[in-house]
Amino acid sequence: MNIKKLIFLIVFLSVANTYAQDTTYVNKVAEQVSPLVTLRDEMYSSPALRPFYRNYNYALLAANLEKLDKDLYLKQEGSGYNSFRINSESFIKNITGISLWGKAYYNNEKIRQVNFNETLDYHYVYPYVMADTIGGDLNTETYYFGGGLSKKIGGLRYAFQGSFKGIQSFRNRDPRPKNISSDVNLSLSVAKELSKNKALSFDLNLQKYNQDNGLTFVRELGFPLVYHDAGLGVYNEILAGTRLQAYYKGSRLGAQLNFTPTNLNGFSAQLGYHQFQLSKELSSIIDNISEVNEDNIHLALAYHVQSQKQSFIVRLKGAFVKRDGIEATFANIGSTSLYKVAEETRYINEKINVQLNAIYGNTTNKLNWFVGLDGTFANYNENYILPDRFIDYQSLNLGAFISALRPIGKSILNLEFKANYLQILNSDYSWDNVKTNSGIYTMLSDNYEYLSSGTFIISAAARADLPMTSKINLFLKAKATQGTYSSRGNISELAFTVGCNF
Amino acid sequence: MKNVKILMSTLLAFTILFNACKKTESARSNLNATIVVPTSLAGFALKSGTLTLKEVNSGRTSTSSAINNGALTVSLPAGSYNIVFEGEIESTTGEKVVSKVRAVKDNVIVNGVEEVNTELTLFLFKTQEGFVIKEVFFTGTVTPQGKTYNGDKYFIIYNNTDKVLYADSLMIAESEFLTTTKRAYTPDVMSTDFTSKSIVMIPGTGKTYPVQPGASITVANNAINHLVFNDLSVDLRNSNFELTLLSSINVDNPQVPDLDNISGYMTMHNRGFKSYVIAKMKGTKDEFLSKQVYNFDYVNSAGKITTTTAYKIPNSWVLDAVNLSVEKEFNWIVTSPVLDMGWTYCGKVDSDATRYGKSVIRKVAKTEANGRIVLQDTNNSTDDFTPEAKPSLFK
Repeated sequence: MNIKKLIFLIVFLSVANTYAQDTTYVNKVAEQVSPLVTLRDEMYSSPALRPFYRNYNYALLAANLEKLDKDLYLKQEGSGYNSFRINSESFIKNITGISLWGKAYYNNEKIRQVNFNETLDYHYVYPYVMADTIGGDLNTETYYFGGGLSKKIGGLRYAFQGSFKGIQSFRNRDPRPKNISSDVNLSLSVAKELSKNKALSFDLNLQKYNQDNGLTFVRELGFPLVYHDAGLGVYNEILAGTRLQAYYKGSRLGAQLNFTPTNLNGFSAQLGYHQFQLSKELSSIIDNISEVNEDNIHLALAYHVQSQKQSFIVRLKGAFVKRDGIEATFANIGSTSLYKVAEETRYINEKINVQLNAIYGNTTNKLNWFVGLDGTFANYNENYILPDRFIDYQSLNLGAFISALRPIGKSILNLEFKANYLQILNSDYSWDNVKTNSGIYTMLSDNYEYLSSGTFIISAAARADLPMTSKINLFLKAKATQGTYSSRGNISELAFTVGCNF
Repeated sequence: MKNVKILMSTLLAFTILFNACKKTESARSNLNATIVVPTSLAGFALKSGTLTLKEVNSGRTSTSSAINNGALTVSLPAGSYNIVFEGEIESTTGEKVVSKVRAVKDNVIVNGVEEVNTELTLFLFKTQEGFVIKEVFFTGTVTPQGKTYNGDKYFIIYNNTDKVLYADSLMIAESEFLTTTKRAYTPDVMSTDFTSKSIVMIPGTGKTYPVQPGASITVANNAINHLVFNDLSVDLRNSNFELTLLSSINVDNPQVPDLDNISGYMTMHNRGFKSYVIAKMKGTKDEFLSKQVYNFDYVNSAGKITTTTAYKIPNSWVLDAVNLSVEKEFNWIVTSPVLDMGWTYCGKVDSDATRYGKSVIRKVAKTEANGRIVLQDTNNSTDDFTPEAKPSLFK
């Protein structure tokens, strides 16, 4: 990945959109920062329907600094991060011609206290990470390019969308992971505009994922046990020791059916299914040591209205994700590779989420304001079979926010306040077959404490947009989040963004 | 509202469906182990015993003592099993004689689908009285500056009898094979011989070096005061013998007699991947080097055949053996289980930084009335040795 390519894309996307400055920048900014639009955008994620998702074209270039600290966290994901990001986005709407959109970003991140995980992209590869008990802060760099286009040909609207994300991570002290992942996504989409401002689309989504995961040590005196986690701290003893090179190969195939209004007013629906498969290989072993099969079904229903004065959206979204982990067992029969004896499903992770969002907005010449409520019920179940271990919990998350946008002279000020309360309704665990003085026991206990802790989090954000020229406005944004866990500890986040809209 | 009901019903149905079928059982199949009494034990019948099965992927252990017509049947999840049988046989005629027996079989594959039949042939478990390996300090030390320090390793050999024994012609041999790398060596002589390229021998004419009952002899790498060079090492000037190492690392103490290098140099694997035996040489060094040559081959990691040469020490010459390994790298023992059916360790992983300055020391079985200490020798190093012990010669 080359930083020059990123800069070129940013410039290209920015320049390409300069003709869009005939609209008032107040309306453009209002659309950019509207929480209602952000929620509604999800219903227009289909590439073929993308031309309808906003009223205004935009292009932005922004730099962002962020710091997140958590006292409770998943050990494999770390306790927080410091990040620096350069981000560029663009959207050019042309209902009768070609609509274009693109996004590119570079993210430099230092993730703190990553333990029991020396592998990238935990959300993709879990539970099959390479692990040790040492870990530490991890440096990552992410490069992302994405974009798409949509055009109506005859009675149908066709769209193509693609993206590439490359990540590398490393640590400059033992243990020294050197990981590189690539994530390529392609979507093909076709839409049919129905009568009365309605459209129906069908998306075909493809993903190809690869990761080279290597670990080295330079300490003269030796190094700790390196193992390959199979879920909830279980690992294969034959594979533990010094197998320090792993390869992950994944692919996703999915489809989504979308129904949305083309004028942003009315009923929307999405129904999607994705299947993700991932295999893990170790150097010197011919067979895969583990595989993941994940099914994801999601359904979203929304009703949204936007008028000159008032707007609202109500959305109900449900998702079910089931991840099966298939693990091979081996025999050492003295040949060059281990002999695969059998394989079976040992790890099962199920997640159900049902979320209800409602946002109301009021617009006047002097003030735009929004209030919103949301509630999420989540059911989480993680199981390992033989030895039997599990974590279960059910949670209810309630949130509320208020935001206001006010033009002050030629500038625009936007303020937002949020509060979220997460209540754990029920939780349980079992890993009584783990030695209580072991690092794995501590890891499981700490992870469970994090997963089964309620939270109360408040956040405040302020954004100021300042017109620099007739075509460019500068914006500054600051966001602070503070929260407490019900069991112990705090969570805090600070973010500063500076950018410009074209 | 109707849509909301449909959504909730759908999610509820999914929840019930997947919760109902989420818990699955691991596939199992039967393993039938037939205990075979060999012709060498004719006149004896199996009396009792316990079968222990360790699945090597998970480390899970199961046992069974339900012997039925000389066989045991166990239902097991799929895996690769190392099986040990320990029991007793009883004479079928004349005066009742009961003897302890063992049987060992590694890598019995159970695939969770088909029934598996295997045979375990018994061997007599009878400890020999004589010299035993009391201690092996193979890890070396670390300097206060955090650098590794070699040359202060040693062996201690102990007279575990109530008689004077002579150390003359006593060989110490390090295994050619690693306990961490299992290979199919052809021809396979492990049941009859110990394979080595690093063999040293205590000189003497037969009665030059007497060892009193309960006394021991120390064989040092370099029999010097290592404390001069490393505060965290040991003074080995009082060793009985010293090795002749590679010239680049050898320091000779003329006050301490050297061992004869029969083959190679005894450098001692400092990660503990090799095994050691003590054996009495039969015949001369030249006869050994000409008659005990062992040419063998194996498939290397590149998939090619490697042919190499070592020496084979007959198991009948071996007085004692100790297998060394580390838990996370252990593949197999490199002696016949008749000599040693277990292994001991310093460090639990390859290159374990905590292993330095640690030793394996044989446990004490009992102390006789005259004060003579009898060391434990059940031909199972897992039971007989204290792993990761403080070296006995360290202050």
